[in-house]
Amino acid sequence: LFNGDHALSHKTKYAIQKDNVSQTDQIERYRLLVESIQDYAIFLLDPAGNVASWNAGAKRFKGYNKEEIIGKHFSVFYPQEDVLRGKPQRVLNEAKKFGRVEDEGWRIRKDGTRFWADVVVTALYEEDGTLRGFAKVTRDLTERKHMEDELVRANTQLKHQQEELTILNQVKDEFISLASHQLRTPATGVKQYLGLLLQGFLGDMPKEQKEILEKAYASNERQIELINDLLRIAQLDAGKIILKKAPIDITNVLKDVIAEQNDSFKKRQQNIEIQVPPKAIVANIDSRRFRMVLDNLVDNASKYTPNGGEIKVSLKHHDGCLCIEIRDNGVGIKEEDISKLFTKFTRIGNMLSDEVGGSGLGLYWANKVVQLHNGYIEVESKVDKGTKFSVIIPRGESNA
Amino acid sequence: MLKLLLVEDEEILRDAYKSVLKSDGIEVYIAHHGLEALEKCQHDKYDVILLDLMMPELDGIGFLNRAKLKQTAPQTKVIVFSNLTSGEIITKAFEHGANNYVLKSDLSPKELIAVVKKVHTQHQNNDNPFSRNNLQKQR
Repeated sequence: LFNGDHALSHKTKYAIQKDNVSQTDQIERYRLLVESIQDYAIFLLDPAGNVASWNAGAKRFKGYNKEEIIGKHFSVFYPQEDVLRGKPQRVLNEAKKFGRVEDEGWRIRKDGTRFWADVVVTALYEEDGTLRGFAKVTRDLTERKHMEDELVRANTQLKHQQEELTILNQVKDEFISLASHQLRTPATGVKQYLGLLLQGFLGDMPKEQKEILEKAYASNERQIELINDLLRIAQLDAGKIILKKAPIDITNVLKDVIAEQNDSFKKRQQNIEIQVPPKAIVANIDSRRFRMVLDNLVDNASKYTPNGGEIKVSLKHHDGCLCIEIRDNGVGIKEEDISKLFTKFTRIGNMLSDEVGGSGLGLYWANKVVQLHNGYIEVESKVDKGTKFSVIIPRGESNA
Repeated sequence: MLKLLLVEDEEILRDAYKSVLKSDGIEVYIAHHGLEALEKCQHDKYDVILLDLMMPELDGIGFLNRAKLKQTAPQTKVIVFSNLTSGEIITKAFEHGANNYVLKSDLSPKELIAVVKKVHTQHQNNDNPFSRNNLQKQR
């Protein structure tokens, strides 16, 4: 067992020894630590900017051995253009002024190759305030720089490709627009010449001949409709449709649409019923396009309803919204087909679809136009019972 | 007799329209483009001008712009007929003094005659440019 005195004297002795060791050892350990660091170039400059110490990291980044670089001015690490612009001296001046300066830029290795460096220069002062020199810590960020440059390059390329795509898209739109216009001309010519024969401008013709011509006329009509649809969709997809909204009495629009299709209803012996409020219902809409939407829905109702069927059109308004319902007792739509109705180039097969023809673009377009009015179209249908389309739109700013 | 100037550069359509209009007893004069129409209008007066838009030399809007028919021939009615459907073009045509705008591909011969006669007899600017007969059937 130790007595208290012995223990005390031993402890004191040890502390004195430890203190002596740490004085010399710590400096040595510190030197070793700094000199062996590989990932940072850490070295000292004298007040004039000459290299005064060197470490493993510095050797690794810059390629110089300790013996060949000590005493040389640190401007050897800078590219010539920086040296000419006086950058090394500026860095030292700023470190002197602010105590510390950080900089990123290209540096030169002994073999003349470049690396991207992040450099911190710290001014070192004696206790009396005289400048002792500078500590310089450098990191090699070449890899990061390359990655950044690659990112910038990829980004530029992407922007370039995006611009090219935009131009290509414009070219496509212009092409479709021009092609549609050009395609209409000969089809219009056919329509006039067949019309001259069919409408009796050149005298009567035998029934069989007239029937053939009627088929040719109908076929040409279908072609014209396809071209028209294609053009409208091209304009819509190109975002070229800007609504021209104005307050308009929607009851009149609806009545007009139905009146204009009276011949079709008569031809198919269909009964048409219209229910609108007695008062004018004014909504803020693009009347031309909205009329086309209603025209399309009413026309579809008539086409997909067998002869002798019934079509009911009604207009209601509630809470600043308008609801226009077009209901028929026609062939109906299968449940699984309802979701496909508003997709481009979709035609739903049923007993009347071959007879009706069409491009599969009508409802796609109508739905888009209603959406542009901040509204939506709802569909309810049962096969062989009929279909109800509801167009719901806000009345807009005008509540006159 | 209704005197009509048909301004159309496409031969196939020009001949068709000429046959249609003549068959109804309309007196048809022909111009192949806007510039020729302009010359014709300087020497003669027409009841109706049936005006195409896309034409060489001088297009339809250019013709309307230079002819200043409201001053030089206020009684002349202009039906712009084209296969162009953009709202901008339609608006422009009306702004430049068209009395009606019809889509060529929409009109059968009988409908064409009906539009010409209707425009001829109506007062200016009371027609609805967006009625079904004046725009393509949309479906």
